[in-house]
Amino acid sequence: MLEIRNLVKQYGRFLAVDHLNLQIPKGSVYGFVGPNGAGKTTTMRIMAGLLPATSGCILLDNMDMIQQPRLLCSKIGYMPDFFGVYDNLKVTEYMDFYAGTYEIPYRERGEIIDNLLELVDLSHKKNDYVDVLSRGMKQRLCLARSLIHDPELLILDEPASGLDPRARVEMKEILKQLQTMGKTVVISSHILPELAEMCTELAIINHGKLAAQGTVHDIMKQLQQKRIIRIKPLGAVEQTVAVLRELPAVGEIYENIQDIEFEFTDTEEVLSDILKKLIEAGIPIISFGEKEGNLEEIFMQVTGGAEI
Amino acid sequence: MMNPVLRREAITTMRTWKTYGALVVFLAISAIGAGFFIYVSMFQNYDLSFDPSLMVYLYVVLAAVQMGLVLLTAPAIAAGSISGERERQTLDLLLVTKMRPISIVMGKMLSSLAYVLLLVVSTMPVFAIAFYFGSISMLHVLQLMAFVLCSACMVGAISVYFSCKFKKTIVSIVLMYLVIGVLCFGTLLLLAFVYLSSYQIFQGEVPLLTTIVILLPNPGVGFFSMIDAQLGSNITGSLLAYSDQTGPILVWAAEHMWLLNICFDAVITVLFIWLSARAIDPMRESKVKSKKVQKVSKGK
Repeated sequence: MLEIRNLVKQYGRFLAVDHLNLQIPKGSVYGFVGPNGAGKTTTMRIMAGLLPATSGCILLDNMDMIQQPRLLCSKIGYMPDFFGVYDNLKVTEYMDFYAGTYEIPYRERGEIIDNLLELVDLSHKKNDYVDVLSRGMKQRLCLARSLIHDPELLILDEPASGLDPRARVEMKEILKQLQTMGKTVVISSHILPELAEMCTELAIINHGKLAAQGTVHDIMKQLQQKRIIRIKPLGAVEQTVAVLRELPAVGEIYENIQDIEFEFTDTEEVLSDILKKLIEAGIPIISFGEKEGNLEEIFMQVTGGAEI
Repeated sequence: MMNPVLRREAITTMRTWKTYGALVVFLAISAIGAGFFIYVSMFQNYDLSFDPSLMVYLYVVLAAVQMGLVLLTAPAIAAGSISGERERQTLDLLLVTKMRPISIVMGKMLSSLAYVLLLVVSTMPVFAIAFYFGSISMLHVLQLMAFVLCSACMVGAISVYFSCKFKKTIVSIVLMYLVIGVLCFGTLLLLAFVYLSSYQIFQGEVPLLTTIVILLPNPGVGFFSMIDAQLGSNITGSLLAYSDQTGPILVWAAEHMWLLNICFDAVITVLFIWLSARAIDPMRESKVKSKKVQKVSKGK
């Protein structure tokens, strides 16, 4: 398990990370969400051993990553939000170079490189020069590079940034595979709905502080004070609205073209009574249910409308 | 296992035409220098006679050209080593690996020196012209190569340090040329100033030790002293003009300025490699902190 305890990073008078506490279970895909300058990348760089923390600690399997970065570098794979590549180096040579930096014996490298290139679907490009690959391919190659030493923990800083929709889908598929391989993945992204699909848990960070933490469902539940119920009647929209207006538990009603939404704050029993009343009134109902919360709306609400 | 940075640099460097272009230019300058010397010494006198003993000066000219070219080339190669990684955004990727900062710096240094060594060795056929006339020995050439490589190490180590400290490669290169300028000409100016104001400072003659200390870092003086020792002309001794009362150690030092210069180069090289490794170590601060914590806990 990865645990962040009271992590602080200060640049002069600016507090980039403000007493951050997080617990990331083993084998989870954990999302870091926050506006620009929230402290996501700073936290990730501290975790990767690239930045010293002002105070606090990060424990991986009860070992302090800040005090013993050398011991833990073999357990961590880091992929920054940019892909650093060398000119005049072929894909296999690029991978072989990083295998060398992790002291992987020569005889084992070939098989590892072939497997990783297959995982990121770059086997057909193994003899191409790295600098001529497309952005999506470079991003996938960097992901393969971060896996060269078979790390337990993968830190991916905005892996989908700047990718076209197809490349994003491919990246998402690879991450799913990594999850099935039992890797703990910490990932940050600005594309919130995608992150919600990929992550088992999320942390929303704002001004270096933890604003919310948990599963997507939990966070929505925590932050949504009012539930929105959506009804889709077969015609009879006006009649439905009239019935709803008579019910005290129903709050503000919104009439859309094909459905009706209303605010609701009461219990599940009262909600079932509302459905019963509508059916008793002879209104043909096609669907009746709670509207799925919009993660971006929640994000804006939590971060006070900060720039994504 | 070979240093991965050195291995990668060797692959990428030898794949670009610039490497071969620089080698061609280096060899062309050496060959043209040698050709010009032979032309001037053989065909520009009245009776078109030729004195083979003059060929020793071909060696001196070639050695000087080589030394000058290495002092100009080494910073250009080494000053972009770490800043180049930073510009390509690959330094962080290296720092998160198992490689220690000192290994990264050593890999960079060795790859720069390997290229300088290639340049130096490739000029051996040009030096062979001087061999033909028998004016110098193989030992002299090897001595020269060792001296040139030591100077390249010193220049390379300082360049790598600048490369660690400054984001832009061009800043590191310019600064390194300034340092070379100070070492080669600044020390001479300082010595001239000391001699001019010797009466106020030393109430008379400048002590030999002061002269040696000022000239010690000067690669030009070291080079001149070595060639002087090889030719047996003892010009350095006459220039330094030590008296009979001078101690034997100082006399030896004055006659072996090139050896002292090699020692100076070695010390500076080690110092700047260590400083470079410190400069790129991202966890330096936390290491200092943890040492302090350990000391405090031991104290308790």
